[in-house]
Amino acid sequence: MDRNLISRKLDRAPLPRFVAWLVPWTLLLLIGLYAIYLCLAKGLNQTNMNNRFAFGLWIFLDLSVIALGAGAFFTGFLLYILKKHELRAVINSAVVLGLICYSGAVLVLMVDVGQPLRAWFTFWHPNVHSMLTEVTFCITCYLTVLAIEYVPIVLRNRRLKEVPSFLVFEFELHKVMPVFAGIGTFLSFFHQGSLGGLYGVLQGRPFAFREGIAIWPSTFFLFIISAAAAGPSFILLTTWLVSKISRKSLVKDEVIRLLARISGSILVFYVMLKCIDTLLWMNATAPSFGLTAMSFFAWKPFSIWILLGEIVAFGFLPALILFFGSRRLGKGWLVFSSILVCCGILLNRFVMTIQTLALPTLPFDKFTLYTPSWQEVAAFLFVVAYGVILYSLSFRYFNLFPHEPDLRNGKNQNGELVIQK
Amino acid sequence: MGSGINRRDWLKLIGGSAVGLMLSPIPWKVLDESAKWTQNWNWTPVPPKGRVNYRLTTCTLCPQACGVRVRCVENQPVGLSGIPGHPLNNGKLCAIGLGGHLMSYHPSRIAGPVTIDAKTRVPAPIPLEDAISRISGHVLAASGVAVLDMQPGRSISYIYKEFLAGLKHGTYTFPNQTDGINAGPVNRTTTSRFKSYGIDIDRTRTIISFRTPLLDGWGTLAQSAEIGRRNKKGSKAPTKVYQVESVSSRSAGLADEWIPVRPGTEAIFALGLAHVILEENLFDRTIKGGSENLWGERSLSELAGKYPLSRVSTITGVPDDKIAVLARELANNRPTAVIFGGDPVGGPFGDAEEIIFADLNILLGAIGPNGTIVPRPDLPSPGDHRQPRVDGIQLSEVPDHSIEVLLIDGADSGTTIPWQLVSRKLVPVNPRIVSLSYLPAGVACHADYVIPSPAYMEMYSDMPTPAGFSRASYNVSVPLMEPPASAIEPLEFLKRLAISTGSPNKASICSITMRELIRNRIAKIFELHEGEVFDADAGETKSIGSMASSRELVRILERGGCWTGNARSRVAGLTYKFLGNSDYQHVFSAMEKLADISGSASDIRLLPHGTRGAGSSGVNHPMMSKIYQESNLRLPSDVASISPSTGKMNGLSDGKPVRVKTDFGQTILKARFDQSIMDGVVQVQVGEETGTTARRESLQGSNTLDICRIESDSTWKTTSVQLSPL
Amino acid sequence: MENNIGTTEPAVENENASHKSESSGARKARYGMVIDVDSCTGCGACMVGCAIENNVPPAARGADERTGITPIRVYKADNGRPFPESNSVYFPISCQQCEHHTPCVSVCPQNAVEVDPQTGIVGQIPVRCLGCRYCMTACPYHARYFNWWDPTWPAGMEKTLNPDVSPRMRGVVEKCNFCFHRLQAAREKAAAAGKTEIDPGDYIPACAESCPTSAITFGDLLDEESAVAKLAKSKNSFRLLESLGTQPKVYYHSEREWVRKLAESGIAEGEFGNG
Repeated sequence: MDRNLISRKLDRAPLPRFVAWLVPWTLLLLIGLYAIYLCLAKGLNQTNMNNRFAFGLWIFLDLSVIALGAGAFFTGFLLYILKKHELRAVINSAVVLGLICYSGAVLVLMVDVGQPLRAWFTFWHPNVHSMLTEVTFCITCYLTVLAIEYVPIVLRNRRLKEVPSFLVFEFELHKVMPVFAGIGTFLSFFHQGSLGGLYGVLQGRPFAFREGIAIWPSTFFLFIISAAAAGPSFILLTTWLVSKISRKSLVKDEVIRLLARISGSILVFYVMLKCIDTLLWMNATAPSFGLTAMSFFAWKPFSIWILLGEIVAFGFLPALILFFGSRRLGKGWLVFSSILVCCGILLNRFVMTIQTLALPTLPFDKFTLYTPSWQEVAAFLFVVAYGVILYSLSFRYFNLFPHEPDLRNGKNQNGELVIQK
Repeated sequence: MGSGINRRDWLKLIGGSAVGLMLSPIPWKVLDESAKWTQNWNWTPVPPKGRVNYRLTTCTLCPQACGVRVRCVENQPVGLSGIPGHPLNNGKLCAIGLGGHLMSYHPSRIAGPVTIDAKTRVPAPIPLEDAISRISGHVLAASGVAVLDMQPGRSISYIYKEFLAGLKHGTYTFPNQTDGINAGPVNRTTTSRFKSYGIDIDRTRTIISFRTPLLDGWGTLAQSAEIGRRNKKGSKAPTKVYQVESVSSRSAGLADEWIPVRPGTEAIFALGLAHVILEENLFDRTIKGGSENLWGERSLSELAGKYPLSRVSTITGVPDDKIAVLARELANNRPTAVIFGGDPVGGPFGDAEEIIFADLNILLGAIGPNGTIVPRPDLPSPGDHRQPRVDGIQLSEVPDHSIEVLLIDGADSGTTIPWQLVSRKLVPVNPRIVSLSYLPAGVACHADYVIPSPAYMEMYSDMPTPAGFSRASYNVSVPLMEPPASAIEPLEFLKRLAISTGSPNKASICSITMRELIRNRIAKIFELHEGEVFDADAGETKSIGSMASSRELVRILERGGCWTGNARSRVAGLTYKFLGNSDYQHVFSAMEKLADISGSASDIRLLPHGTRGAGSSGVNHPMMSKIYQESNLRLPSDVASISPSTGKMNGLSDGKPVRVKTDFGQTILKARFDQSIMDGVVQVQVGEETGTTARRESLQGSNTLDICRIESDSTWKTTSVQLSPL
Repeated sequence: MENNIGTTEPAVENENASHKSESSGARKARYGMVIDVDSCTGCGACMVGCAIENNVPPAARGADERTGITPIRVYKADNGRPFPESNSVYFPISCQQCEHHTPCVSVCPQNAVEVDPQTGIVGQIPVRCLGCRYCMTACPYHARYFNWWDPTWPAGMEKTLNPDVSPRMRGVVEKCNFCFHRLQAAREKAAAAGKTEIDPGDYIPACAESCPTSAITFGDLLDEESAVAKLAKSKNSFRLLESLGTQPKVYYHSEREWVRKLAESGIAEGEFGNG
């Protein structure tokens, strides 16, 4: 029915099946929309956040999706600046994912703040000392960049391509894409870092506080590097997932392995830096507050195993697998490692947001637990559903994977034509 | 078109204007101003505007009669503070007093006369005329009518007495006193005949408190601040405080030493102290001559002899050497006072116990020429002496099952008491209870009719001498706000009732207004020609003698002033009758009974405790939520605090529901483990309830006091409970 | 990171020692408090007095000790020993008015918080607050409170609001500001009498005024003759979380050593609790 909207070179499921796929996500979207309405209409008492736990599930979500969505800027950087042309196979998908992640994050942020109508105050009365100002500015700009990068993908749709002015516009835009990629990288660098800086500057929270270079705490750099490591893994993972769900080959093997190797090498570097940072924190920073690092981990259920898990199981292990095994190991290992990497990133963000706040700071404080309310979870799932729907629509109507037509036409994963017997 | 303005020119104009505008402040200012629409939502209230002025009055929310400075905007009270220099509170107010002006707006305020459905306890409005005619009918038909005055000693109290005198069987009663020094035991153990006694805090150097919340709410604010000041390390005139009680209270935590005794054994402990003092000859020398029953048969020393330290130690749980050391401390660091007011909600001590405490005071010289327990005269009564009045009796003295119609006044400002104490005085079939209060507070919750009175600050009232204060005092509370149209002053109600019941005293009752009544009383006080008056307006104190007429006294008292009587000389030249002379057998057996009741170690005792006055009534101004709901500072009344070992022994978990069962009922509370609490004890706060700022739809009166065991002497000290998880 | 454990000097030694401000003839001040926790009975009058003075609404339905608004809040702490050796202390905690690297000031994305150079008071501008709550995560003293609900008062009670303070709306953060409106009133009074300096007795925050045992001493820490300055310098006065280097202007005083020791630890023994 919508065949003329879908590229001639691609096979896509019949419309009824596609709609059936969208239905549960749309339902989730609507439930989430209702939860968001409740929070905006009645106030943030609809959540389980409180004065001790001022940041909750949504901030964790924001930090996590932005870290995962770093694949967009990093892939763009690798492709347009470092000229790694293999990544052309996934750049479109990365841009859509980036757009989803960032727009989802901004949406949730608008629900999270008490007075969303005052969001423009940050631009009007910016505080140059605040990491959050930096984050706000950069994310807003970067979202714009992503939207601009998304436009050519849209305009290359089979029907839209037929409009001459769109074609011309898309062509011109494509010429300046490296500029946008460069801007995007620059902006991303800063806001990924500032998100880490958000916690690293909190001298009132010795668990999160880190020394650093000039005004930037070490978490600033660690967050950038971990995001750069997670980005390619996330792309790898999503590509594999979409490929599995759509039952199509979408990219050549060498792309997967390249992503794995990039992710692995950055991850190795990150794990080393993280270990150094952790040791510095345990032996110098925390004692300067008069606290021993182990005292932070005396609180069940946040024991030292989380830190070890983050560094070893979700950091060191997949780094080794990805770095050394990107050429030799089967794809299954690479996907598994990507999952570990992404989990590691999520764990790191979780520790920074949730564990920081759970720990008491005053001597007569207690350790605090927090479980999100259904409205918070529904809003979280809203973003997930929104992402799936937007991605599904993009996957169906736009040419997200340039390798797909070749692979469809009988070329195998190595690009060689295979004759069906 | 020709030459002239073409499209390009227009474009230039528009473009240029846009750029120029950007350089002017206009768009930026507009943007900034537009932010205002995110700042002013029409459902955020706007504070009142207008002229600010200050007015002065007295707080009536508890008997301590603090002087209040009211900040008003166009005569609407917006903030309260204490009156500096006032003899009773010296510039301070308590948490409840600070929000007194908010009581008028309590969501649960009773709007007009209501009847309460017996089963559902839901109020239904009733026209005032109907209410009066029904109540009059009940009164006329009743075999016994009583007024329970929760704040006795006020001017209105005398009018109740007049009204009751016109009935066939009228009784005026008030709750047994739990605050301050009870006159009864002092007068039975000495030859003193004063009607009431106070404590001269300024002279005490050592205080031993038996369950009195000495450091957190006892006495007037000035007195407790003074004790607190002198109790601190490094104070110039240090006062040591020893707290003897079973509850881990704030006073226990702040005192120099908390002496935790097993529940109900306070008097035994006192006897142990007396034993040491007598044995080691540490008692005050002035009692040597002219005292009866100190030595020999049927004497205090014989009684004390039955309680050697080892026995006292076993009963109370305090090591015997500690008792000895303490006794010596008390005797050697005089002036000493033994204060045994009892926690207001924890209940009074029994007769016999109070005699033991009074005896201990005598031994330590606290009652005597150098003592700290000082007499105070009664205040004159208002109104014409010729009118007959009934005498007042304590609630415990009212014969059981004798009251058919009960009028309760002042439930919202009087310390709440176990309903059993009241209910057993009522006839078993269809008693009628009328409450004159504006909140469903305390014992008012059991009423069949509620005739809403004006709130604090909405009517004339007076406050007699607070319990425990060292001199007689008198204060007046004036109306600063308009009561709602449907509120009826108790005096006005009484007038209508007097007419409706054809009371023989109706002419006298109807002839006077509250204001006139109080002014009449002030005139009588003036005629005493003694004492001094604190003028709150001027901030100075002057003697009565310097005043020309009682009109000046009226003016000062109606502006937050305070009259205080002369400090009486100590009760010198007394002879003492230890054990209250004829009470010997009674005291002996009561002590034996207490020793038995203290019981086995595995018994668990229920210990209710709380604050006095409106603080215990369960309904307070909505800002108290800061303390009860929005912080952990004070526990609401549905929490049972126990030691972790007691909790675990009974299968309980911290934070989970627990069934608290006594022989008189049960209640479900939330368990809270606290390692500062002694084993075998359940502490429950009586007062503010959870979610108290919400509106109450029905009048449910139950609280922990309902399941306590009431003794024959109207105390409720030791109730055994069983705890079980839900 | 500076290590300021055990420092008891007033916070202002490092600051510009000049007492005169250039703009007006008024003297620069650093308002602070010393709270004698040996005198605090935990009665809560300060909490109630503050809330009434500052137009804080009573608890919303469903509010609890973690979602309520208590610009000054009294915490109970004990010495950790079981009965009968247990001893407790009450700590009233309000905004500590940090002087140095004020955690909340540097993190607010809208500059809605600032340290007033004239008085040292950390002022919050609720009408500029976005409600992002970053300042709340930054504050180690938990002195900041968020309006989780629309503030509502029982019918009629809005007539009792203090005309000198604007009520806040839902979704913004608020905190103690040392009753700044009372300082403004004192300044107006002084100006009306033609003076440049306020009479110190005219400016006292509601909490200090309400305290029945006068445990709270308030004043200008730079005024060496004032009671608050002398008490702050006393041997047994201390500040909370000194090692964080925030240089708070709220001091505490106790003769009990276990209480002073308590103030330093940021994290007590490991124990699972639900707060």
